[in-house]
Amino acid sequence: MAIYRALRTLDTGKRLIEQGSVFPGAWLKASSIAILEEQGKVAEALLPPVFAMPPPYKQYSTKLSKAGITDAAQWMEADPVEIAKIIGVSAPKAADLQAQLYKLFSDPRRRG
Amino acid sequence: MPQTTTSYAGCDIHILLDNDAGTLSDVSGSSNALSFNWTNSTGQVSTFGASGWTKSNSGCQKSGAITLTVLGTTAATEAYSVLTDWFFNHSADARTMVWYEPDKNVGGHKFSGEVRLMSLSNDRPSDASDPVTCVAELITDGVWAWTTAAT
Repeated sequence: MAIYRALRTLDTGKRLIEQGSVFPGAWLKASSIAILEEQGKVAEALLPPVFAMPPPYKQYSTKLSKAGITDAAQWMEADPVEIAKIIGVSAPKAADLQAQLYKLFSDPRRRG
Repeated sequence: MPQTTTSYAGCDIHILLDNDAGTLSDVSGSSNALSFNWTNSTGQVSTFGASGWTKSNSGCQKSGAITLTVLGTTAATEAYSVLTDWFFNHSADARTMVWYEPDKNVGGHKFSGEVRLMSLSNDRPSDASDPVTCVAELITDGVWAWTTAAT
């Protein structure tokens, strides 16, 4: 499953996915993703390669690339325990970095 | 621009309203019309030396007026009893209202928020064979959300 961007605010009944935010495709059924993509309400997020990431994420790019994780989407989808081993940080720290990536790539909230 | 293929009718709108217990209950099957009017406050900008077309600024506040027409029915869980109970026994309460259109499926519009009950209008003609109806006027209370149903 890829990482998607919400082009409209999505309501799953359990969580609200704000317009502009990025989220793991696993949050929705594949059939729902297909419908929402067709309606222009979600799109696969275009995320940079790990070498193009800003600090402090860039420092991990070499280790991630060697492990076959070449772009931000792969990093965000990976098991944080595996990421922790690859980049040499604790599992909570790896999970925190992943959570920060979702915020980093989300568009600022617009209120009107 | 090509002609739309996604227009829809209102026949499968799915309406949920808090009951006395504060639980959203499906009142679609005992409701037969819904109308709503969203309002955005605006102001006029007027200065000396600027005659001609009026300038407006955008709103500070939004609100919505919702009218829900329901059938007169006797079941306690159906819309008529929910609304009448709300008026007579809990009129000070705000309640959550949600509706989906064109239906509750993925990709549908979802509108949700709190409403207060302003009035219930009931006509009871003696010569009509159609089921009697009740028209509830509701006013939004606080933030309303327009989202897309994703599950």
